[in-house]
Amino acid sequence: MILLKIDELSVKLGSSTILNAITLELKQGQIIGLMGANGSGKSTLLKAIAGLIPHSGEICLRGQVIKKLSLRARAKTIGYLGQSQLPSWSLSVRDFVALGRLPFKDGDKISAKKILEKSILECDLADLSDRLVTQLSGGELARARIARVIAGEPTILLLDEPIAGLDPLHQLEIMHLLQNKVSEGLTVILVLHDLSLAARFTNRLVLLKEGRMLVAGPTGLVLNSENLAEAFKINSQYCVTDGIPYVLPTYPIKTLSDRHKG
Amino acid sequence: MSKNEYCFLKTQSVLGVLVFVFFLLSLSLGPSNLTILDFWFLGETEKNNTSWLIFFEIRLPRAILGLAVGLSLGLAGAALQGYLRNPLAEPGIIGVSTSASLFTVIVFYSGLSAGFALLMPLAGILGATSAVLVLQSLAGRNASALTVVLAGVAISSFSGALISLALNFSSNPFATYEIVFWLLGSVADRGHDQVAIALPFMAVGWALLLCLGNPLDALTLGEEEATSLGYKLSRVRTQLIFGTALAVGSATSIAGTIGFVGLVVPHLLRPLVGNRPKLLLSTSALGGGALVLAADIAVRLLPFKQEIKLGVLTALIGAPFFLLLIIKQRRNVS
Repeated sequence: MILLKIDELSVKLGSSTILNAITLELKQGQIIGLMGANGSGKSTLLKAIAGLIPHSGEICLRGQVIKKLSLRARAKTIGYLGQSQLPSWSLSVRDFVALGRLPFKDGDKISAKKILEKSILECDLADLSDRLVTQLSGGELARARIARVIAGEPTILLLDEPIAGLDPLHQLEIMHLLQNKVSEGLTVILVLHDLSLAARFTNRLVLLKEGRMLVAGPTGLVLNSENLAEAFKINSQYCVTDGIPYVLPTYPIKTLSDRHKG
Repeated sequence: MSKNEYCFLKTQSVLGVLVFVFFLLSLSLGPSNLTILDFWFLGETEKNNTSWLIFFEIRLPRAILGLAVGLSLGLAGAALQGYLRNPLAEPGIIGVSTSASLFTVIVFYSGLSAGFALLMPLAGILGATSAVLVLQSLAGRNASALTVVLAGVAISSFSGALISLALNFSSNPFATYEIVFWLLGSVADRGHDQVAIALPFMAVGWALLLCLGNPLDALTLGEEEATSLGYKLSRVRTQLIFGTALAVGSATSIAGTIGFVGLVVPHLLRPLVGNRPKLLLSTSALGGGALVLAADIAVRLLPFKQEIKLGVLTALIGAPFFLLLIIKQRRNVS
């Protein structure tokens, strides 16, 4: 079933075009990775889907044009997590996660409290629920942020580099957590830079280059050396060891000094 | 009930009791040695005598104004800090207080207040509203918190300069004296008519600000994530600015400039409500009411020949507190 349909999506900032005529169809219950070099428009695409920036073209969620949905209706369906930042005030983990229920205005209801507890448990935060978010480690904060966004029980989750800055163990923890949620029917679109984690955990990949969609499709097909060379200007090898795929970037096609010269 | 909700209710109850006690104390203190009990037991026939006049015409409006001004400043301080996500923000920062003062000074200066006393509070409200409109046009529709602060600082400085200009050109030393004393800030010698005209505006301001709890909680996550939670930030900003203008503008027009209440109170009470902006709103309002009532009682008890002005006392306490906050923030950054 098609969950999200993006048609000729363009975003302009002043006179420069950040995203140019992106057309995509995404199914429910998948992890979709957005990849591309820095400045290729990944975060902008996420923000446009979340309805946070003005855009031309049409984005439909289950056949409904997102622009026409009220802000609250959108908030109940789409969970958005920007690039990692500490909250402005040092809330307890429980209060922080509870912010995810704001679109529903049901913070005092027993059903909401149950959802909150479930999110806290799923993200392995039960022992930390009374701790202040400023006292959490990077991995714990990343889990708390995801707990906050899944507490809103969205249909689709948009995550901008949720594993940036985390050590390998915490990266795997977060990716497994997302995989579990996807098995329950959630759809996740996330920006990430790690080619091996993308190969291992995403079902589909969208490669962006300079605001245009280079290629989109099943991860195994998209992650080939030609596409990666085009998107990142690198050589790469796609390998599978013990059933786990990974991608090894081998050497830039052009070194930094070459790029400066040319 | 969560730990934070329990702390919130406990804090509200303690502050509620403090406000009640300070209100009664405010009614009981003055140059004449009459207490609240003396007024309570006045007979029907005695209700026209001097004692009754002292209680009803002098002390009651003073206590009501002390409470209302404190509520306005505490509430607006908490709301502004929540919106700007900056513990150093306070009502004066968006230029509302100074602009309200400027308009009131113009009415003083032109002599219009002599003919029509109620023009002063109206001028203050007009000044606050003008500041808001200028702020809106300077900052633009989708301004960031930083732009709002910078626009506020510009308005505040310009209004301050115009007040100085008015004082500079004043040919009447008595008018200058009156303006300077009014600017120092006080709730003494105000009448029921002034309370009656300012209170409804303040009440509308309080209502607008108290409704901002959920969006301010959402803003803890930053502007993008707050929008993704369903809040239209331009509407939140408009509600905040008009709420602050009505509450603080009308308070300033009656009481002059009473600074630092909106800075000190939210900062002291924030840890008691688990740092949640929503819970801080009503808590800070009660805290502001308690602080201004207490400060107004203190100015009456301090052993000076002439009663020290309320705004002077709050500034004397608030300015060092502000410096401490800056040092604390600098330490946190380093």
